[in-house]
Amino acid sequence: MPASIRKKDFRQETFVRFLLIVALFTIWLGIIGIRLVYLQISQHEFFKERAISQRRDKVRKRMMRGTIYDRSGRALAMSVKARSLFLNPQEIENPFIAAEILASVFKFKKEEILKELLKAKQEGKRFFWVGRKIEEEQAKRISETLQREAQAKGLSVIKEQITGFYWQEDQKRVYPLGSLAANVIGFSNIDDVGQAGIELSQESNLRGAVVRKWQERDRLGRVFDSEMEEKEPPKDVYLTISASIQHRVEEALKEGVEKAKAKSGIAIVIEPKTGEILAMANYPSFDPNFYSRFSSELFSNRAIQNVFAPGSTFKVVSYGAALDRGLIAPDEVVDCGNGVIQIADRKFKDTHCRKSFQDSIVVSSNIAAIRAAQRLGEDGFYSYLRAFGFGEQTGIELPAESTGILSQKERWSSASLASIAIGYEIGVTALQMALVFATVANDGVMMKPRIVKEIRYSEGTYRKMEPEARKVLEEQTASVLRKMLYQVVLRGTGRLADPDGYTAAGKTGTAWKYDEKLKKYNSEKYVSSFIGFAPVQKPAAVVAVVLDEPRTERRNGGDVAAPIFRRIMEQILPELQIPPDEALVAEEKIETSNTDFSEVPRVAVQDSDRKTDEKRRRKRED
Amino acid sequence: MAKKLQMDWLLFSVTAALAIFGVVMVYSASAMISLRETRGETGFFYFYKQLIFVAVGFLLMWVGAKTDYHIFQKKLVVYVLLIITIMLLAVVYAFSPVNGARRWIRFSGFSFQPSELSKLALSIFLAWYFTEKSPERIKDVLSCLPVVAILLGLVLFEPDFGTTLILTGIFIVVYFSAGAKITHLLLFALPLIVALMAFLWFSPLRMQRVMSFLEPCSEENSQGIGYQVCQSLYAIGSGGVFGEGFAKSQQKLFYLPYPYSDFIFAVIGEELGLIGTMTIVIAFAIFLWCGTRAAVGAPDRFGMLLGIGIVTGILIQALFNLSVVLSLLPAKGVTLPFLSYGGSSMVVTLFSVGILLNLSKHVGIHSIQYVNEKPFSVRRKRLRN
Repeated sequence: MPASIRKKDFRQETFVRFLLIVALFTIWLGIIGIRLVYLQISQHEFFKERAISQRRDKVRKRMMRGTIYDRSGRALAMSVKARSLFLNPQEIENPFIAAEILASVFKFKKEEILKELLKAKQEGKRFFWVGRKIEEEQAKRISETLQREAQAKGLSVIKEQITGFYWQEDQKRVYPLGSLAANVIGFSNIDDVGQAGIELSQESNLRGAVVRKWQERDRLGRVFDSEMEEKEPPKDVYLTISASIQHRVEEALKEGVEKAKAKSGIAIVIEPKTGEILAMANYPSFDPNFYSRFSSELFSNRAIQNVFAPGSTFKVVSYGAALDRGLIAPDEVVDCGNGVIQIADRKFKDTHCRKSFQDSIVVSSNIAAIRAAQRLGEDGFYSYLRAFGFGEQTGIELPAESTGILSQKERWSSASLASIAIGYEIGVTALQMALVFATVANDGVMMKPRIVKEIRYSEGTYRKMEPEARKVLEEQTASVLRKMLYQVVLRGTGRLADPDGYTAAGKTGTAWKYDEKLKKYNSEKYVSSFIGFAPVQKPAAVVAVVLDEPRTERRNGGDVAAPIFRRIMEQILPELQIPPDEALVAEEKIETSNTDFSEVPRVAVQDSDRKTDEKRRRKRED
Repeated sequence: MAKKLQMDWLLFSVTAALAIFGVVMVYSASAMISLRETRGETGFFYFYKQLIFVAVGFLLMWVGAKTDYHIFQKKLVVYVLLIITIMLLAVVYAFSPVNGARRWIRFSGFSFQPSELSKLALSIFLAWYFTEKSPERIKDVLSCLPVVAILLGLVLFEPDFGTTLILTGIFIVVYFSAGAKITHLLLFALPLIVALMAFLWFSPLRMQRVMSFLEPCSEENSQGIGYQVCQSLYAIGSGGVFGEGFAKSQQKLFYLPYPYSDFIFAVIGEELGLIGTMTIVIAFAIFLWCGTRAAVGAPDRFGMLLGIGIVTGILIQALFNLSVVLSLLPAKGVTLPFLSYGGSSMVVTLFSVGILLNLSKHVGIHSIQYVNEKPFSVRRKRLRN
C-alpha cells in the first residue's frame, strides 16, 4: 500500500472519528438550546416570581399617630418611635438558653417564660411577643445585651440578629403631662387605637394609616428600589384646653375635694363668648401613660358622663325663663304663704318669706323659684328647658356624652313643675349646667361647647371648628340675671366664691342624691356645686365646680364648692389677661345683713331628716 | 503552491464578536461589584482589565495566525512548552490559596493561571505524540500517560476539578480521534469510571452535592449547596424571551456568585433573554463548525490533531459552563471561554484560536504539498522489518 493512500486512510479515520465527537457536541448544544427554551419560556413566570420574591419584601408600617395639642401648642399626647421584640418559636434552636437570656434581660421568671415558649413552639406558633413598645434607646441597649448574652451562650447571631429573635418597628403613645386632662384626652391601647376621650372621638383624624411598602433588596440587604403606597397622613388635633389653666384648675379641684372629703369632683372652665372649654378637670383621675394600673372607673369623663340632680343652681333656669317672659320682676315680693306651699301631694317649705325675687335668689329660696316656674306654666317652662338643651347632648367632641334626664312633659306629675324648678326630677351633666351660666354670661346666646379647636393636616393646612350659636334668653334678661347672681356672691350663699380683685356672679347648689335603692332622694348624700362667672360686667370665664358626696360638717355648695371656684377664678383671670374690676364696682356693693338661711331645698317636708338638716344651717361670720 | 493561503474569516469574526460581547457583559455584570470593592470609586475596574486582556489576546491571536503551526511540531518546542507548563503548575503551590485553591501565580500586580496554559500545552503535546507514535499500540499510549498524569494531577490538586475534566476530555477526544483501539479506550475508561463511582459512593455528602443539580431550588438545596445554581436559574428564567434589558439584571446584585465570570451566561440570560442566550449558543455552534473545518481540513496529521485538541478544549469548557449554569450538570468552577472575565483564559484561548486560524489557511492544500509526509515511526519500524 503506498504511503499516500495509507495517509489518506488515517486522515479519513480521524475525520470520521472526530465528526462523531462533533456530533456529540452538537447534540449537547441542542440539549442546551432546548433547556434554554424550557427555562426562559415555560418556566419564565415561575422563576421570575421566585426571583422577585427573594429580593422583594413587603413592609407594613403604621404611620405615627397624630399628636394632641393644647390651644397654645403644647403636646398632650404624642407618639414616639419604639420597637417591639418578638420570637419565632419555630426558629429558636434552644428554648432553654433563649428563656435563660430573656429572663436575665427582661426580669422574667425563667420557668414561666420557658413554659410559655415551649408551649408556643409545640402549638406551631410563629409569633411570640416578648416586649412591646420599648423606646428606641432602651431597645438598643436591650438588643446589645441580648446579643452579648446569646453569643456567650452559643446561640447563632447573624448580622446582629439572634436566630428566631425579631425586632419590629413600632410606636409608643406618650402623654408628656401625665395625668393632666387625662379624662379629656383619654388614651389609646397597645394597638394604637383610641379607647377614651379625644383619643377615641378623634380616632379617624389621629389614626396613622398602615402603609405598605415594597422594597427590592440586593443580597446584602441594601434597598435599591422601593415602592410605597400613598396614604393620607394622620392629622394633629388642637384642643381648646389650655394646659396651664387645666393644671391650675386640677390643683384647685384636688385641694377642694380633699378638703371636703368628697368622693370625687368636677371642674369646668368655659369661655362664654366662644363656647370653648378652657379646662375640664376630674378628680380623682389617672395617668394615661400607665392606664392599665388604674381602675377603669377613673377613665370616664364625669363632667359629661355623670348625671346628677342639680338642686339650687337650676333655679337660674326658672328665674331666667320667667324673667325672659316678663312674668316676674327682681323687686317683686314673692307670696310664699306661711313658708309652706303644697303642690299636689307634696309640701315645699321655705324659711324665707316676704322677700323680693332678687333677695330670694340671694338666699336660694325654693318657693320663689317654684312661683316663677308656676307663672310660666308647664308648657312655657318645658320650652325653656328644651331651649337650654336639657335632655340632649351638648354635642361636644367627646365620646359617651350623656343626655341627662328630662322626662317628657306629658309624663310629668302635678308636682313635677315645682320639683324641676328647684333642680329635682331632672338629671343634668356638669357641662349642661355650666352652659346655662355661659348663656347668661354671653347675653343670652348659648354657644355650642367645643373642645377641639382645629384639625391640622400634615401639609400645614388646617380646619377650624366654627362656633355655633343659639339664642336662648333676651339680652335684657341675661343682664338682669347677671346682676341678681352678682348679689348671690356679694351677700348671699355664694360669698365664699368671691375672688380677690374681681367681681363674680354665680349660684350655689346643694342637692340630695337620688338613691336608686331607696327610690328617693337621700338626704345623707349631697352633690354640692357652685357655678358662676367673672367678671360680672364682661364675663371672661364660666367656672362650674361640682363635688360628689362631700362629707365634712359643712358641705353645702357655698361651703365646699364656692372656695374652689374662687381659687380657680383668682388664678385663671390674670392668666386670661383680665384686669381686676372689683375696685371699679365697689360702690355698687350693698351692705349685707347677717341673714340666716338654708339653701337646701326641701323636697319632702315630711321627711324627719329635715330637723337634723336644719341644725346644719350655717351662721356666716364674715 | 496553487492556492492562496486564506484565513477563515468567519472563525475570526465569531471569536472576535464573542470576545467583544464578553467585555460588554463583564462590565454589566461587574459594575456593582467593582463599585463595592473600590468603595464607590469606579464601576469599570473589571471592564478595563478585561479590555486589556482582550487586546493582548488579539495580539497573540494575530501572532498565532501568522506563525506556521509546524513550529509546535518541533520536539524541542514541545519539550520546552511541557517543562515550562509543569514548572508553572508546580510553582502555583508556592502561593497562598485564594478561596481554598492554589491556582494563581502572582508577581507585581499580575496574576496568571497556569492551568489555562496546560490545556494548550496538552493539545500540542498529544498532537505531536500521536503523530510520532501510534495510538493503536498500547505500549506507546502507556508511555505518554506519565506526562498526561503529571499535568492532570497538578491541576487536580490545586484543586481545579473543572480544568482537570477538560484536560481529560482533550486527552480522550484526541486519543480517540487519532485512532485509538476501542478495546484500549474501554480499558482506560473502565477503571476511571470505577474510580469516579467509588469516589462518590464512599462520600454520601459529595454524592448529595453532585446530585443536588437535579433540583437546585428545592427547599433544602436552595439556601445551601444548590444556592448558586438556583440563583442562576432565577436569573435565566427571569429573562424570558426578550430579557430585562441590558445592564438591568437584578440577580447580579450579589445574588449570583461571580456574575462576571462563572455565571456570566446567567446575566446574559436575564438581561437579553432567550434571544441573547440562543445567539451565544449559535455562536459556539458556528465556532465548532469553523474550528472543525480548520482541524479536519488541516494538511497533515499533526495539524488535524492539534486543531481537534484546541476545538475540543474550548467547546468542552463552553458546554460544561453552560450545562452548569442551566443546571444540566453538577456545579464545578468552569468559566465560559471568550465571555467570562479572566486574563489567563482570554489570552491563552485567543492564542489557541490564532493557531486554528493558521490551520485554516492550509485547508484544502494538503494533498499537493504533504504527500511525502513521513509515516508514523511505528509503521516505519514495521516497514523496516
